[in-house]
Amino acid sequence: MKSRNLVLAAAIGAALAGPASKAEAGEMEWFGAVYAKFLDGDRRYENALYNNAETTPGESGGDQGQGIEFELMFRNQVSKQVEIGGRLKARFNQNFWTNFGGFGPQEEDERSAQYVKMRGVYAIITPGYEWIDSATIGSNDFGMFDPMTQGKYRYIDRDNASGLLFQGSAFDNDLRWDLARVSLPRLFAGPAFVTRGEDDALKLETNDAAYVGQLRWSSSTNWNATAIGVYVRDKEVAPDELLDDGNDEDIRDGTDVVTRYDNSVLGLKAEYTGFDAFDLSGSYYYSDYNVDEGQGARFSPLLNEDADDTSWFVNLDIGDFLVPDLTFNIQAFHIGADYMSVQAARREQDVLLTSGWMNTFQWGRPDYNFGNRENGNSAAGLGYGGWNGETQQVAGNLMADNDFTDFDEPVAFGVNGYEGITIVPKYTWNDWEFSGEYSYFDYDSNWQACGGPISNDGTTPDVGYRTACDKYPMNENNHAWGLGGDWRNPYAPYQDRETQIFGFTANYFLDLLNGFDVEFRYKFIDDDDDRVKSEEGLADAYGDGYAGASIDRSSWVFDFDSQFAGCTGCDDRDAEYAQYGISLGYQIHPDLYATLLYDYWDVSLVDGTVDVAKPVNSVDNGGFEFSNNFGYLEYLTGDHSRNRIGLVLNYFLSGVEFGASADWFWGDYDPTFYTNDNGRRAKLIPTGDFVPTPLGDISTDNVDFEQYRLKAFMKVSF
Amino acid sequence: MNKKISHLLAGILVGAVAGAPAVAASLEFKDPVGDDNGPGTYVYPTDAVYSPGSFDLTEVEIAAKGKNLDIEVCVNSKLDDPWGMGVGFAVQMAFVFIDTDRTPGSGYTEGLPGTNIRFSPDDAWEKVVILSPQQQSRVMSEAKMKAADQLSKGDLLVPRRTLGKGKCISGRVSLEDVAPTAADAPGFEGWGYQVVMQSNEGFPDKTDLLTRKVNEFEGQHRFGGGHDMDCDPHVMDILAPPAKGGDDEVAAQHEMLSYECDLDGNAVKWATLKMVRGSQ
Repeated sequence: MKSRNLVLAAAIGAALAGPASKAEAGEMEWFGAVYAKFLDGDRRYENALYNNAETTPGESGGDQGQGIEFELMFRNQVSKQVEIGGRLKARFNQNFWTNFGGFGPQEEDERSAQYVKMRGVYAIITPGYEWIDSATIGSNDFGMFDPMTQGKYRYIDRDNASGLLFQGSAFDNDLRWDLARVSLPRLFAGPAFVTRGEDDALKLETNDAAYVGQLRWSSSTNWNATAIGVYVRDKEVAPDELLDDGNDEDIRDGTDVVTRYDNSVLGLKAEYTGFDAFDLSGSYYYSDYNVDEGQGARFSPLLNEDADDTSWFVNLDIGDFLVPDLTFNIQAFHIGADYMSVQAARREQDVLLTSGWMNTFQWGRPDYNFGNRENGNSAAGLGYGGWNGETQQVAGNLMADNDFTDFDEPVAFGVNGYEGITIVPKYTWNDWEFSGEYSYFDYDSNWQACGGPISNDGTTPDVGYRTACDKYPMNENNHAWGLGGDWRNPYAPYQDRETQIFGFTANYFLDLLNGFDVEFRYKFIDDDDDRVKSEEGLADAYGDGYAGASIDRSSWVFDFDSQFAGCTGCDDRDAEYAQYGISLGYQIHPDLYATLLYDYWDVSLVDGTVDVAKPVNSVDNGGFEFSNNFGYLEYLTGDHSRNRIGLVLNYFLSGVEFGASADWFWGDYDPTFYTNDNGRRAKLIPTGDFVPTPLGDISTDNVDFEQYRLKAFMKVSF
Repeated sequence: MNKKISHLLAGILVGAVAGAPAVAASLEFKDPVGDDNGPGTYVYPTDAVYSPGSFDLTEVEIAAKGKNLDIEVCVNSKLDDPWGMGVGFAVQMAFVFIDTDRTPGSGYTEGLPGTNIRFSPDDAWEKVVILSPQQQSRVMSEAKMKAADQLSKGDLLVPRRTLGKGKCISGRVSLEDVAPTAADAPGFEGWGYQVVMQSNEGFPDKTDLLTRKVNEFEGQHRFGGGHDMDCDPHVMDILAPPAKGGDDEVAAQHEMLSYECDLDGNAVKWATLKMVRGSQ
C-alpha cells in the first residue's frame, strides 16, 4: 500500500524547478510552505524528528516529538534571458517544540538551532542562440539524466548538488543534448565515503567533478534512443610534491596532481513503440573504475580495487494480450556485481520492475534475542515494524540511502549483482483490477570466496576468502544474515543464492454509499542461499572460529571436524516470507479520505545450524558490531509471525493538507535450532532453557513483540 | 514446495471473487500520434520523467456502464509512476470537457484555470471531468480555490479513483452527475467532447488548477515553445474533428491552438477549441 504522503518528497523536488511563473520581468515571486510533523510511538527515542536518521552514529532517529519547518522560495525572471531562484529553508531535525524556541540541548548544534539556510540557488541563462537553449548555473538535481549513470539527486540532497548544465537541441528538436559538470559531493562520492586521501597535506577536494554528456534522439513517434556518458575524477596533490628528494618538491613550477579514483560509465538506451501488440525498450551500460591502491575501506560506496563490468535491461510491455484489458510488463535484467557508477541514483528512482523485498523486515529492531535499551544500536532502524513504503531498487554504487525517512516512506535498496526476470500481468474486469508478479533473481555475486582462492587453512589471516573479498566493502553486511537483509550491502563472501517472488493484488470498488476501495494483497518470497558449497570452503569460512571478530564467542569453533566437517548444508539459509493483507478505503467526507489496513506476515527462516555465524574478517568485513552487545548479528532461525493494523487519513482544505498514519504491530518469534548430524543439517530439540551459539545463549522461549507508531503532518503551501 | 504452492493458491483465492459483467455502449475517438506539440511548437520538459509520447493523446473511449460514465484516455507511451502517486501514473493529467446540451451559447466558453484556452460558443461545455493522479480530495480542494464557480455548480467532476494501466488512464463518474436534467437529451453518444492533455503539477502556480506551465524555453519541469506570459494555451494535445486519427487532424489541432499575444503578453487571440462528437 503506497502512501500518498510519499509523493510529497518527490513532488517537492519537481516543484522547486517546476511551477514556472508568468510574473512580469524583474518581479520577484515568493512562495513556499509550512510543514509541521508530529511523531509518536512506543520506542521512545527522540534523537531526531525522523524515524530514521543515520548521519550521526549513535543518534539515529526517533518516534517522539513535534516540530515545524518553513521554507520560502523565490524566483525572479530578471529578463527574457535570465531567471534566478532559490529558497530559504529551516529544517527541523532536532528542532522540537519542547526546545522552546532556542533552548535545545545543543543550541550551538545546527540540528537543534532554529537556523535558516540558503538552498537551491540557481541562475538559468537563455541567450536565444540557435546552438544552445539554456545554461543553468548552481543548484540542480540533474534529473534529466539516468539512474544508472548520473542519477537524480534524492530529495534531501536535491538542493545540495550544484554544477553547470548546458542544454540544447537541433534538427527541429529531434536531437536534444545535455552537458553537465557536477561538483562531486565531498561527503560521500568516493572510496571510504570521501573525496580525499588520508593525508591532509595532499587533500584536494573542491575541484573534483563528474562530467556528463547525453544525446537524446527522437525523430519518430515510434522510436527514440539515448546515449549517455559520465566521467568522474577525484584528484589529490601528488605525493611527490611533498618529498624533499630533489625532484618535484619545488612548487614554483606548479603542483602536480594524481588521480585518487576515476569512474567512466557509458550507457545506450532505446525504445521502439511501433508494434501494435507491444513496446520494446532496452538499455546497456558499461562501467570502468580505477582506484588508487590503499583507498579502500570496509565502509565505502565503491569497490576497493579496479573493476569494470556491464549491466543491461530489456523491457517488454504487452497491451491487451489475448483478451482486452490484459497487459503484461516483462523485464529481464543483469546488473554486474562489479558495475560501479558513483553518480548513480541513491534513492527515489527504481531500476527494476519488481516490487522487491518486504520492507517491514528492513533493519528490524528491537533486538530479537535480547532487547536491551541500553544497547545504543537498538535505536537504529525503525523498530519492529520496519517501513511501510514500497521498495525502490537502485544500483551502481553502495550508497542506497534511507536517511531522514519515516515509516510511511519508500525504502531504497541496492541491487548490485542482481540478475533475472520479472513478469507483471494486470487485468481489469468490471470493477475489479488485478495485478500479479513473478520474479526470479539469480545473482552475479554468487561466488565462493568472492571468486578468489579457497583455502582450508582457516586459521591464517590473509588467505582464502579474505584475499578476493578485500575488493568488496561490506559496510553493515551483517543484517544480510538476519531477517530482511540490508539495503547497501550486496556482497557476501560465500553465496549461492536464488530468489523467487510471487505477488497478487486485487482491487475492487464497492459502489455503496460513497464507495469503498477494497484491496486484497498477497506476496510470497522464497529466498535460498546455499552459501559455502565445499568442505574446503567450510574450513575457509568458519575454520578460524571467528578469531579476531567481536562476536560473543570468538573461540566458538573448538573442534572444527566434529562441528562442521562434511556438512555443507549446515550454513544454508532458507527463508520463506508470506504476506496477506486487506485494505478498506472510504471517502468519509469530501475533504477526508480514510484507509484501514490489516496485514499478516508469516516468515519461516532457517539460517544455518547453531554452530555457524556469518564468516567475518575482523579487519575488513566486520568489527565490534558483530557482538551481541551491539546487536548487528542476531540469531533469527525460527518462525516469525507479524500483524499490523494501520489507519491512514488524508484531509484536504484549500491550500492545506493534513495527513496521519498510525500502526499497531504485534507478533512473535518462535526460535528453532538445527545442528550437524553426521554431515546433515538436522533439527535440534532443545533440552534446556537456552541453546548456546556463537552469538550467545539463545532462549528457547517464544518472544512477543509489539509496536505502536504515529506520524501526522500538516502542509500549507502559499 | 507444498507450502509455497499453498501460499500462492491462498493468495489467489483471497482475491478471486467474481463480479457480474455490465453491458456497455461506447464512443471511441482517435488522435494522430506525434502531435503532442500544442500549436505545433511546444516541446517537453527536460527531466527524464517526461518520456517521449507521455502527452501524445492517441485514443479516447467514453462508455456508459449502468449508472456510470467510464472514460479512458490513452497516450503514446507506457505510463509510469516516478513520483509514487500510487495509481499507476504520475506526470499526466487530462481534462475531458463535455458539451451535454449541444445548445450554441449555452455553457462555459473559458477553459479551466491554467489551461489558457477558450471554446467557441457553439462548443461551450457544461461539464468537465479531471483525470488526475492526485487524490480526489486534493483536486477538489484546489478547485475550491481556483474553479469555485464550476465546482459549486457541480460542473467540475473528479472520479473517486483514477487509474493508469498500460498506456491508458481511466476514471468513472456518475452519469447522473454529468447529465442531471432532461436538457441533456442527446445522451452521452450525442454529446460533444474535447480532451485536453496536460501535466500533473503538484505545486502549481497560484492561479493554475494543478497544471504545468508552458514557457518560451523548456525547463526541467516546464514545457517550452510557448510564451512566457499567460496568453498561450498550456495544452500539449487535444482531439480534433472528426477524431478519426487522420493526418489532417494535426493541422486542425494546430489551428485550434493557435494564439496571438501583444508585446505586453496579453492575449490578442486565444486558442479556441471545438468539440468532437460521436455522431459526426
